[in-house]
Amino acid sequence: MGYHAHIERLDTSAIIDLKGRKDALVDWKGSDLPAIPERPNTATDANGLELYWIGNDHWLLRAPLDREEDILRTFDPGSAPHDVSAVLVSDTLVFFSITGPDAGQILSIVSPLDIALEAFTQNGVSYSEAFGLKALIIRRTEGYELAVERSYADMAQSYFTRIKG
Amino acid sequence: MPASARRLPTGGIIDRSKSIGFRFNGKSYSGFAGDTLASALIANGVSLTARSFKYHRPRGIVGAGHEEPGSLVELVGDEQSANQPITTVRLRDGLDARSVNCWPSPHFDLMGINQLFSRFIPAAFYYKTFMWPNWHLFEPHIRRAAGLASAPDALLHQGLYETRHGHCDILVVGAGPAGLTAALAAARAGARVMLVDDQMQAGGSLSGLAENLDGRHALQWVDDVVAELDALANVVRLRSATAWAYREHNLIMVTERAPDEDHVFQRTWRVRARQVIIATGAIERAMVFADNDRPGIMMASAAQIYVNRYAVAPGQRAVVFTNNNSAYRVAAEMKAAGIEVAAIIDSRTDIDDAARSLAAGIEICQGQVVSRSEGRRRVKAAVIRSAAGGSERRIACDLLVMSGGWNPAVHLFSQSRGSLRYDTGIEAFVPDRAVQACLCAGSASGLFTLSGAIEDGAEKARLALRACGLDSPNAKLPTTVSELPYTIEALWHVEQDNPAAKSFVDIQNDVTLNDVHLAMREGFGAVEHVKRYTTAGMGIDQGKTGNINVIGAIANRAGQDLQDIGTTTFRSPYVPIEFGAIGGQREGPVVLPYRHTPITDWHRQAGAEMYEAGARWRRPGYYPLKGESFQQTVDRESLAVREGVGVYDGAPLGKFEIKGPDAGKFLDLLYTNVFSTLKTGMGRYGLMLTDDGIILDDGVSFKLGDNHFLMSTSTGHADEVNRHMEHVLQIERPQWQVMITTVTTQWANATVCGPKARQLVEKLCTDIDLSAEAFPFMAMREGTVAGIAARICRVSFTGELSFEINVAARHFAKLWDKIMEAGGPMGIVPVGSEANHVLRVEKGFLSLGHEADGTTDAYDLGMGWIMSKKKPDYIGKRSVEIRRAKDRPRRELVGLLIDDPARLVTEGAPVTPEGRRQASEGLVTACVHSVALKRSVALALLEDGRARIGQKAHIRMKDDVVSAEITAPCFYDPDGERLRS
Repeated sequence: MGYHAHIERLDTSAIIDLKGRKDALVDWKGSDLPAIPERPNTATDANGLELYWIGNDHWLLRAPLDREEDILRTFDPGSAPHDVSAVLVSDTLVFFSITGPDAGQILSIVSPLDIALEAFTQNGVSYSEAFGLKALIIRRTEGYELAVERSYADMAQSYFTRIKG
Repeated sequence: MPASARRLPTGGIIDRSKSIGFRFNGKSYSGFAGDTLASALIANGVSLTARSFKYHRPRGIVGAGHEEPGSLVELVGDEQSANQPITTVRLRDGLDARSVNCWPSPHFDLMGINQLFSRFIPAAFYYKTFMWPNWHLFEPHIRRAAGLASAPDALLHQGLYETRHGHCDILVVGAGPAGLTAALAAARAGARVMLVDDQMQAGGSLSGLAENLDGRHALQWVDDVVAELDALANVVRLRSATAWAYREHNLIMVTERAPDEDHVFQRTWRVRARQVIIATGAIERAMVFADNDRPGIMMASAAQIYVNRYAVAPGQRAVVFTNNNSAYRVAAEMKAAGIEVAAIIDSRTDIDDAARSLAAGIEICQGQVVSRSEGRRRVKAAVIRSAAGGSERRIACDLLVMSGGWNPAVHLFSQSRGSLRYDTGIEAFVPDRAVQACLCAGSASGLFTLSGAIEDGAEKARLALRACGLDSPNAKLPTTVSELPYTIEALWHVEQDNPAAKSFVDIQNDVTLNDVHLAMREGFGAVEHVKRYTTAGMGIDQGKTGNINVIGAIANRAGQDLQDIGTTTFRSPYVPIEFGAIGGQREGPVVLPYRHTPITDWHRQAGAEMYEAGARWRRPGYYPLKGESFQQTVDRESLAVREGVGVYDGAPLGKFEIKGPDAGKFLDLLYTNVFSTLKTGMGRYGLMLTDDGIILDDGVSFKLGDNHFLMSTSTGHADEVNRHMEHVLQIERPQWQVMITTVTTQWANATVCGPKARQLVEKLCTDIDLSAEAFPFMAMREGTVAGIAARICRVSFTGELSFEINVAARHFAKLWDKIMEAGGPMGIVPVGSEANHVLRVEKGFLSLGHEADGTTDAYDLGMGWIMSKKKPDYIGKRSVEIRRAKDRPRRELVGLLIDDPARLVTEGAPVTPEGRRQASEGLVTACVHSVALKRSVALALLEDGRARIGQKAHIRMKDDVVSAEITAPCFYDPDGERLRS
C-alpha cells in the first residue's frame, strides 16, 4: 500500500519567460498581464493567464497551450523594448500534478521546499530543487504542480513511480 | 538454563501476554513483546554473546542502548543486516541473529587463539610488521580476522527505503525528561515542533528508572505528555528515529527505523530547523581495570534498565564498582528486585551520607577498587584492594556493574562545530560555545538530576522560542522526589598489578591501557594521534564509550588536565546507518539523473546503443545493423555523411537567448573575438576562456535582432557556461543590463549533413532560399520545415554542408520522421556520437574534454586568429598574454598518421621521446579510423608540436611503442570548401 496521491504528467503549457524591471514590464504590457504579484514567489491570475514572480526581475506567464499563438501575438518577443526580454519557453518545462491526501508527503520526498502554509502560501510558486534538479513548484488547491526541464521529465516520472510505492 | 530463568515475576514495561520466539546462534528462545534481543537473551540466561574485535575474547552484554560496545550481531533471513548492537534489536517473531567475530560460535571460536599471542599483537603491530613486501598482501587476511560482519549479499529491502525533507521551528532530539518538557513548552507556544527519539517508547532515562513525577509513576507523566503532543497539529513526533548527523545551516539527518507505512522499511529525514534542542542524555562510562571485559560485567545504568524496564535480572549476586553517586541507586534497585548485592566498591575517599543511606544494608568498600575480575566465559569474582594498593580480597559474583561517571552525549553538538569544555565538577566534557542555532538541555548539558533536566528543558525551550520570535507560556513543571546529588571523584583507570594484564579503555575496538601508553611512548601523544595509533573510539563506537577513558589515560600519564588534552572529533553517523536509508529512492535507474531528447524512443526503436555523452544526456552512440561490428557501423554512418546525407539528433546542444542594451558588449567580454559587429541573421564561431585564459567553451552565436543574440554552447558545458555568464553579470558587471534565458530544451535540433543535405532540406522547406549565395555558411534563417516553424542555422561540426534545423521540442518527433522519410530515397542514415567524433577528428575540430582539456588556450590549438587584437579586453586575455610572455614550450595540437595505417591507439596514451619510459611530451587526444583517408588518424597535444610537423612521434601503449608521423591537425578539406558549399 503506497501513498494516497495521484501523479499525472500534464500537457504542455504556453509559457513566456519575462525579464526586466517591473516598471518596464508594466509600461510595455501591464494592461495585458494579470496584476503583478505583490510578493516574490507568489502567483496572480486573470483571464486564464497566470503570472508567476519567480526571481529578481523575472516572471513566467503561463496559459493553456491553445492560447500560445494568442499570447505570442500580445507579448510578441520582437516588439519588446530593449530592457524587457520576452522569450517563448513553452517546451522547456514538463509539469506534473500531485494531488490527493498524501500530496504533501510526496512533495516532501522529492523536494526540500518547506511547504507549510506559512512558508509556502496558498498562491505560492517557487523555483526549488526536486530529485536534485532545479524545479518549479506551484501550490494548487488540490495539491501541487511540479515542473522540471523537459529533458529530465522521464527521469522524474520514473522517480515518482518509485516513490508512490 | 531454562527459558525465562532470569525474568523477574513482576514489573517492567514489556507485554507478558505476547510471547515471541526467536533464534540466536542457531538456538531457539522466547521473550516478550517490548524486549530487545539483549534483554530477551539475559532473560534466557545467555551471557556469552560475542567475541571481541581483535583478540576474540569472550564478550557479553555491556550496555542497554546504542552505546553497547560488547556485542554486535548479524541478523539473518528476511531481516538480513550486519553489525547491529544487540541492545538495539527489537524482538520480533522469527528474529534470527548470530554473533559476529566468531566461528563457529562465541562458545568455541577458532580465532580465540589470538589470545595466546596477544602480547605479540599490540596496537599498530600490523603497521610495523606487514609492510614488506607489500601491505596489500596481508590486508585482506587481517581484515577478515579482525573485521565485523560482512554486508548483506541480498537486496532485501530494495525499493523500500525513503528519504524526505522536514522543516520545523524547533527540533527536539531526545524524548527524555528534558526533551519532552522542551517539546511540550514549544508546542504549546505554537511553534512547529519536531520531536525525535531513538526508542519506540518515549521517556528516555525515565523508562529505566523506578521514578515518580507529580506523585505518580514517571511513565504516566510521559504518556500524558506524548498524548498531548500527538494531538497537536504543529508537532511531528518520530519514534525509533535517531538523529545521527548535524550538518551546516541546522540540517540534521534523522533515520526512522520503523516507519508506520508498510511500504517503507527505513526513512531518512533531512530536517531543517530554525532552532535545535539537543536533549540526547548522557552515556555512562566504564571502569578501566584488569579484565574489565568479561561477560557479566555491565554498566550500572544498563543493569538498572534491565531490571526496571525489561524485568530481567542480569545476575544473581552482584558487585557494584563506582566512583560516583549514581550507582548507589542502581544497587538499591537491584537489591529491591531480589538480586543479592554483595558490595559496593567505591574508589572515592569521601562518600556522602545520602548515598550511604540509599544503599542501606549493602557493604560499602570506601577507597577500594576492583583490581581485576576472575572468570572465563562469565565473571565469577571481583578482586578488590585499596586504591593505593595492598592486599586483595576476592568477592564471588556473577554480575559486576560499573559506573565510571557520566558523559553528556555531546556528539551532535560537536558535529555542529560547537566547542566543548571540561567540567571538573562532573569530570566530563560539556557543551560550551554553540556555532549554530542549537541548545543542549538536560543531562546532555551536564545536568544529571531529574529536576535539573526538567527545568533545563523548559528553559531551553524558552530560549529557542524567543529566538523564533515566539513567547513561551508559563507552565507548571512536574515535581520530583528528593534526589541524590551527583558527586564524583575521577578514576580513569586502576593501576595494573600485572603489567601484561588487559585493562580495556575501548571495549569495542579491543584497545587497552597498555596500547595507549605504547602510543605515547612512541611519540603519538596527542589525543588524535593516540586515536589513530590505537583505533580507540573509531568505528561504530565513535567515542560513545571509548573516548574519555582514553583522554583520562593520556592525561594521567602526561600529567596534564583533560581540558588541555581535548577530545577527538565526533563524526557522523552517531549510530550505524544503512546505505539504503541514506540513498533512499535514489537507486537503480534513478541513481543518477539522466536526460532524454524528445526522440529517445525513436533512437531505441532504431536499435541505437544509448549512453551518456555529457551533461547527463543519454544519446545514441551508434545504430548497428544486424551483424555489424562497432567499427563497421561507425564507418557506415561516417561514410554516409561524407558521400550522401546523414541526420544527427543535436537537441542537447546548449542554447541561450541573450538580450538587453549591453548584450553585444557582454558577448565581446565573454568571447575572445568580436560579436557586437555581427549583422542580424549572421553568426560567428567563438572561444570562451576562463579567467586563467584556458578554454572554457566554444560555440556559435547568432544575432537575432538589435541587442538580441542566440548563443549555442557545447552540450557538456552548457550549465557551466550559464553559471559563468551569471557570475559575470551578477558579480563583475552588475551595472550591465543583460537578460539571459536558457532555451536548450525549447529548441530541438536535427542536423542534416552531407553533400546531399541541401537537396533533402529543399524537399521540406519551401519558404527559405537555401542556395549558398542566399543562405551562406554561418547564417541563420527563420521559416517552416515540414510545416513546422523553424530556425535553420548553417554551421558544421562534421566539415560537410550542414543545416541545423531547430523546432519546438514538441514538434521534433514529427520533424525527424519527415526528414527520414524525405531522405529515404537518398539513403539517409541516422548518425550517432561516434561517427560525429570521427568526422570532427578528420577535420581537426576541437572537442571539449579532448583537445580543450583544461590546460590549453587558443594558441595551443592553432587558433591564434580568434584572439582579437582590436578589443581592449575580454575574459582570459591578460592570463594568456602573461603565459605567452614566458616563452615556455607548450603542448600544441597536431595530427598523427600512425605508421601502421590499420592501428588505432588509445585516447590519452602518452607520447614520449623515442617512446622511452620517461616524462611524456604530449598525449593522444583522439584516434579514429578515417573513412576519408581509409586509415587511422589521430590528434595529439605535443610539446612544440607545430615545429615538429614531418618528424616522428612515439606513443607508448601498454605493450608496445607505436610510431607516427606528425602532421597538421586537419586531415580533410583543409580549406573548408565543402562546409561552405
